[in-house]
Amino acid sequence: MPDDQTNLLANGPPDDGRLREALLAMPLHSPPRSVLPALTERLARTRRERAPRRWIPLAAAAAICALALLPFLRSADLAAPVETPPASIADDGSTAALIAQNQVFESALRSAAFGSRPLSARDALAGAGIEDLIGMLDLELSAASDPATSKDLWQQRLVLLQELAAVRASGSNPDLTAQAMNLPPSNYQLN
Amino acid sequence: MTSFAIDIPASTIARLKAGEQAALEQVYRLFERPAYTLAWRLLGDRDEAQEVLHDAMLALIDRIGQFRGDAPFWGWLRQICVNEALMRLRKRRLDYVEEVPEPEALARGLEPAIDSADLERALDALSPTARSVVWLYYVEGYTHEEIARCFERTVSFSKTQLARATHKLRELLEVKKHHAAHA
Repeated sequence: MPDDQTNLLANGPPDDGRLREALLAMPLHSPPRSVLPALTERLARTRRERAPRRWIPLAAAAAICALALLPFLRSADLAAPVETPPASIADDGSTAALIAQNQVFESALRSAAFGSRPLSARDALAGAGIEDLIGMLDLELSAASDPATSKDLWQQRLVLLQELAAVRASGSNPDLTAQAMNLPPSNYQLN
Repeated sequence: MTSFAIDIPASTIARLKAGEQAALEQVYRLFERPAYTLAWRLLGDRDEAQEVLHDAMLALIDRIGQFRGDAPFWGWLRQICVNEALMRLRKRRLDYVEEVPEPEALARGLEPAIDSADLERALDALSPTARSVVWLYYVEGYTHEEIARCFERTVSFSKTQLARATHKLRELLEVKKHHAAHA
């Protein structure tokens, strides 16, 4: 106990304020052993357990939207040219490749082919929700210092961009979606 | 002010939610001693305090996604620690109206001069429940309503426990001072 605290108590029975001061002046104690190793292990296990559950639906969505996006990347009637991945972008799963793929999808989404088409209210709402998620990921990316975390966030962002492309494509341009699915266009009439 | 009152940047909390280990280490190192000390004060047992620190920090990992930022992070984490500690107190099936030893009897075992251990010993002489109420009220700044909720008891329970415990602490410290003066 510090001298001032000793004097405080020695001067008489403490009133509530003095008792409070004396208690607050008591030193902090350190635990005999750190629990950090156990926490680190739990954190790693938690991340492993969450990863499959999160990626299964996202991977399925990515596969579906990749089909829907294909006509936009190849269609000749696009008002603006769509950037395609340069040959140097190898899909090797590296962070650099993920960033490049993000940029390609963003360019495609910014193109007139996506931006000028009308959307249903449901698709517009879904698109806005995905854009919010992308915005949150951008915030996390700006704060991420760990390379592994950054890579994980870029991967999630890519999947969200693919989902956004799928929402805009399937909801607003049934003909192109149908084309991607090898179906006849909506104005096709049977003889 | 409570030693728990440490403000954490929102970016650190976001990184913690994202499962970043560096953020976890940062938060742990800041709150390790306040959490351990709080658990020790409430339980009066170092080993159990260590277990509370362990369990509370694991709970932090599991529940960080539920933290919405409506209140300070330190208050949220402190409540986890308090709940973990009080859960252990309840498992002991303590009688909430347990009386503390008589001050005179206790004073016979104390050293004649007031030293740094006096307040510590006086606290140890209280029942775990009384000591917890004293600590939550005076040090952590809980209200009687908040203490009553923690113990799942009434506000009157909190006020009665605090009044009795404060009186006992005063008596213990006064007796100690009296003995020191006549030594």
